[in-house]
Amino acid sequence: MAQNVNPHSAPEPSSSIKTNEDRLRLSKDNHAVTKRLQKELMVLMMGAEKGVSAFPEGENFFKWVGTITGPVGTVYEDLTYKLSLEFPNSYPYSAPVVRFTTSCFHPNVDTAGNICLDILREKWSALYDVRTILLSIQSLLGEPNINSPLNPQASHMWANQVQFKKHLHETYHKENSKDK
Amino acid sequence: MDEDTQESIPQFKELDDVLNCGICHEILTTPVITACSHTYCSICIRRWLSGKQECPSCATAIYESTLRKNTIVGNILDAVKNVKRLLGKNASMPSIKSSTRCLNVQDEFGDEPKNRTIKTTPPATPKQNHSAQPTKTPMLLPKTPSPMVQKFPKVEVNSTPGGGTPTALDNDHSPAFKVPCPVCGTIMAQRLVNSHLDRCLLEPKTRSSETVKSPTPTVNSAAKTSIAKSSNSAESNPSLQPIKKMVYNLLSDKQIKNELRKYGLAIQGDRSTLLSRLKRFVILHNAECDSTTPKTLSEMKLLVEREEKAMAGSSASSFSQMFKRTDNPQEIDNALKEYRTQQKASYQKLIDEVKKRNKHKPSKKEECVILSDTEDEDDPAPIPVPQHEPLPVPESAHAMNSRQADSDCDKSGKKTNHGNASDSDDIACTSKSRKSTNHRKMTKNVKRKCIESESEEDEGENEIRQAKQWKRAEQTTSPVLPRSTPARQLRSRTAQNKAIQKRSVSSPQSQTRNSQRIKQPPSKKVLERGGGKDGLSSSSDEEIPSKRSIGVKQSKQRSPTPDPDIFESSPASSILFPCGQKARCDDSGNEALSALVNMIDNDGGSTTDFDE
Repeated sequence: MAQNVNPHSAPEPSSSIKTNEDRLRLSKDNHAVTKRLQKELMVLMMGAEKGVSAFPEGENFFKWVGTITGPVGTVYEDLTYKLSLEFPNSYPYSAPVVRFTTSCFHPNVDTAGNICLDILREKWSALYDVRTILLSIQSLLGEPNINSPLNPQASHMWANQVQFKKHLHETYHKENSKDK
Repeated sequence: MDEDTQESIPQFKELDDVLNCGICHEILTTPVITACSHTYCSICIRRWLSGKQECPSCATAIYESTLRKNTIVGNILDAVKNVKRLLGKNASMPSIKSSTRCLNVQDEFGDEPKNRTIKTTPPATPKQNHSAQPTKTPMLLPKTPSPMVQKFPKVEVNSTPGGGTPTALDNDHSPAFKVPCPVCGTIMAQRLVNSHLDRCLLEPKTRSSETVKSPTPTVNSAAKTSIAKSSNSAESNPSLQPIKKMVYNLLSDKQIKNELRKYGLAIQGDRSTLLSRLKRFVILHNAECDSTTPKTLSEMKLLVEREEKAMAGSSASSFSQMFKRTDNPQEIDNALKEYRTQQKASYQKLIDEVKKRNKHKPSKKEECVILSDTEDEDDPAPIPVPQHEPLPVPESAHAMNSRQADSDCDKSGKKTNHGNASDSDDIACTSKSRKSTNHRKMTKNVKRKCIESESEEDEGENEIRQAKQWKRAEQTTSPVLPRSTPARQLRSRTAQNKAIQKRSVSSPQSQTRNSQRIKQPPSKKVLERGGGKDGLSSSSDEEIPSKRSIGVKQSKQRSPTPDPDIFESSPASSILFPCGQKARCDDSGNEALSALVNMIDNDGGSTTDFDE
């Protein structure tokens, strides 16, 4: 029979001792991640950061939709991109998974929307938050890392900004109209 | 932190930003400073370092061992909290909550236990003035690092979070004698001075107090009440020593469990669960060591359990967690269906296994052998099927049993005694047999099988298929049948049927007995056992209720004392068969018995089909 018992639902012997107060306090401790995300959301809403915004998708606090607008003065100016952010349970000790949901023609973004950005991988630090991530991605749009391209075509084209911009806008509008 | 205060006094926002932990985005709790001079919550940085050994801010390589308590920042925090609380009270801030804060998170103080007591004492008291002296220094005065100057271990405001208990001094507000402590200068009731001195002298290091002058006039008035930090109870908990670093990967499972046990943590789960539990606990524990008011072990334990559950809850895939009660039942059904199809193979495997085991079930003949050397195989039923009376379903699954039950029932008739005794025996046997290794059973059975007639196989199948059994049982006049134990269990269930059964079955049974007896090879134990039973059964049902029960018991466990008359009169060989089998073998009784079997099965409504 034991193998049919869900280990997670099995009552822990010691947990029965806890008082109401404990439960209250502990349940809050439990939601450290949620709490932090709530704070971040608040900061984002209050801060009114230019060009970036994010909001939880539905009721799940662990999945957000972010929006960034292309930095002024770059080929991405006036373009708006949507991203999805998925936060692991271990956030902020491990990085969220961020990808473009709007297709993005960029040397460091592949066709599936995956982003090659060091701070989302090995350089992740617990001090980063949604705001900084979005700002980093925004700045990545204007300053791609040509040396480690995920999209070789884009990286080749990057040298020729005019051509790049033309292609970029073409694909952007094509994709966008497809979406609609 | 406290948004109310932030709003009313914008400067507090800055203060809060400074005092925020970059990792958890909360006001620092138990701040520690790294070798690169960055300050974080103790637990936050420890968690971070357990993954990557560099400072989150500057990426300098740092190690957990180099973290140091940042006492001053801790004191600042407490002082700030106190000021805010006072502000909140005096300025009646709570109503300030603005509508823009619909997303407001729990503010800091919401989390604090209620035992935080604040004493706002009338500024007029001279003693208060004394202790409040530092607040008169210019606002936002830098912390004086020398504890000697401002030591206020006894506190007007007891601010320690998490259970700081108000000291006796706090309560001693009476106009009675108050004297300053010669060491730290705190004013207190005379009678308390001695005990205070003991502590004061013992722990000179922790005696430091911070006072903060609030930046606004409102605060000023409020701040007249002294705000001093209490000396903390860190030292009162000297047993809390940091757990030494372990190389988790080198720990054996046993060592991990030992460690967990040492701290009273649960030890269920696989290695990775255990390890993460241990790590979590160690981090929490070491972080608490930095705290001035560490949690107790049991509190930590609870926290770890909670944390673990939260983690498991969000990632678990079991049905109970995948679905909520409110979910569409259709969805749940579909998911369950899917699960069943996925697991079909393993179900099938289990079913096959059970079938196979049934095939190898020892015949009566075998049983004698078994009895003589070990009782392991007493219970021929497949293990997953409970044999006890309380679970009627599996019993009827054995077609044999039900047949046996027929005959048994009529025999037992009103003799409840017998039924009980044998039942208890059954249970004992079952548990024994479960203990025995399957392997052993198998090998034995295989050996025996070679010798046995094929009838055995037939019987095995019979167990599963009710329809066929009946005929086969007739053909194989057979010793193959499993012991009658399960049949006996049926007895009580079928009590309603007894009367009918008795009438119809009793005669065929008695006839068959003799013929069968001759076929059986004698064996001492069998003899005894069978003798007991058989004698009982062959004699008229009502005759010897008490003897019967005795006989059955003994036949299984000790040297039996069967009814002597019966024992002698019946041929030794016959004894092996439980009455049910005999009845079955009886030609004349066949019809009546089969009818009965069906009746019982239907009646019980509990026939479970293993083949299904």
